[in-house]
Amino acid sequence: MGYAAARGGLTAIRNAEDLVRTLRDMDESEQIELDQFIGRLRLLVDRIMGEAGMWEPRLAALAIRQAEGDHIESVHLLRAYKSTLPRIASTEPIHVDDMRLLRRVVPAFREPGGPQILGRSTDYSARMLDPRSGSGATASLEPEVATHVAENSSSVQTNTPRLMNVLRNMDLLTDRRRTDDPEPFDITRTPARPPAPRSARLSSMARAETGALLNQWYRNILGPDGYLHEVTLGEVRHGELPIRIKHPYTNGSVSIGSLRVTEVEAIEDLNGIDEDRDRFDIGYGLCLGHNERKAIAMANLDIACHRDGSKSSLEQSILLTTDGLDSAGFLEHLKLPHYVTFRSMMERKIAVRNARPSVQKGDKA
Amino acid sequence: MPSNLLIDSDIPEIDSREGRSSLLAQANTEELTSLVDRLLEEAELSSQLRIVRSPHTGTVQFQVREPVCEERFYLADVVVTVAEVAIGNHLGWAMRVGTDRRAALAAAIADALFESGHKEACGSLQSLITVTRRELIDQRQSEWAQLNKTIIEFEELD
Repeated sequence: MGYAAARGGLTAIRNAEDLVRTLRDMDESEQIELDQFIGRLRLLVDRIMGEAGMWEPRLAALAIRQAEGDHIESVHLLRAYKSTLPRIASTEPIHVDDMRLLRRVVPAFREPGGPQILGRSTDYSARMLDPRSGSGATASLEPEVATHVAENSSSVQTNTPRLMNVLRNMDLLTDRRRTDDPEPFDITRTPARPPAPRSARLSSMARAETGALLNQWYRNILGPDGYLHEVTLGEVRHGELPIRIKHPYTNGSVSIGSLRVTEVEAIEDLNGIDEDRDRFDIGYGLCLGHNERKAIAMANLDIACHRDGSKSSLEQSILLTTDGLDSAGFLEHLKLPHYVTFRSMMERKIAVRNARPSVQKGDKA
Repeated sequence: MPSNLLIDSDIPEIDSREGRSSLLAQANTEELTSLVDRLLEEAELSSQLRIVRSPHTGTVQFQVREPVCEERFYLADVVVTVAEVAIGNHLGWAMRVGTDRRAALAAAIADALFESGHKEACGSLQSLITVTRRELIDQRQSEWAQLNKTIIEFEELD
């Protein structure tokens, strides 16, 4: 594929940019403050941070405001900004068991050990437009106490085992735990290409475009890929993980804050000829912020890739087509001038037509 | 015992340098910067203050260990601002999430002041991090009070 550059029109380009800025910033309505995005549009802010692969809610809010709510453009702005920053350090490895839970549901088990906490969710509610939403009129600071809840909260604060460990204790789970602790693959330094280590797949899916990952999962499970399998979710969690850094003088651990993540375990019923059919296996999903759709798709695709073992194009498809910035960038470049390439295409058509024998021309006529 | 629902899990203690750095990293920006400004002025320590590494913004790679294969992977980058100072021979370091250079510098100065053992400064800073710790616990308690009411026990139908 060859391209030829175009030039000119700088004034018009500047005026177009200025029009975006002016019409956005001089709108009659009030300027939206960054705190409002973070507080009232938190799921959008979370999604953009996740797809940008960068945690900083205020910058994400700024990107959304600048991009007039275009989420791919917001991700683009954040990735571009991140590329200007030096990488100072890596955190200590944070085990996901250190998560402080804000929500936990276990669809596979009624009594999984530890509480099931709905947290901030409308999963079980009817979807009806409410003109009062956001006005404060619908807020309830004192929700009813749910039935069956112990008055003393400490009784449910002490133990939240993973369903995975319950299955392990029942010897119902294949054991894939590693002891060699390989260095994780850094997709921001080297593009991940199949066959890739699992750490590369997990990192790629964690910052994939949510819709692309969802589509990949849906195609995989119901579409032409024909990979029909039983899907049951183990843990669905939303919570906070600490950000721990090594102190440069003492080498001790410093917790500089926390970030929110969504975590999902997908239980897979092994039924292949060469698989351990009397046990289950587990796929894993983890992404920034509160984004359950993405984490569920990721967990299912993680185990699908493992079972597939690079036999199909699934891994390639995940690694090469789910990054929102890659796909949107390629698509949007089609709007740029393609005069020379298209003119050459037209000239080829005309040349082919002119090269045809006159008999054929006559036939057509 | 898993502690991911304990209110005070991972809340830093105030009696170690790492704990103090953790709390300075999470202290209220305005309270931290105004206190450090005041302490430097009152204790006449500004002349002894040396910037070792001026505050600068960058990223730290957030690595997690997942529970299926116990493998590590990089989840994302976190934007942080880091600073390093010295007061006399006492080095101070700080890293805070975000892009606020003034707050990172103030936290590094506070760390150095702690190390210097300056009595009045240490007392005031100790109060600040004690309040910060209390606020973190209060915030979690208030959060838990709301979450507690959403605990659900489904019933299976016969």
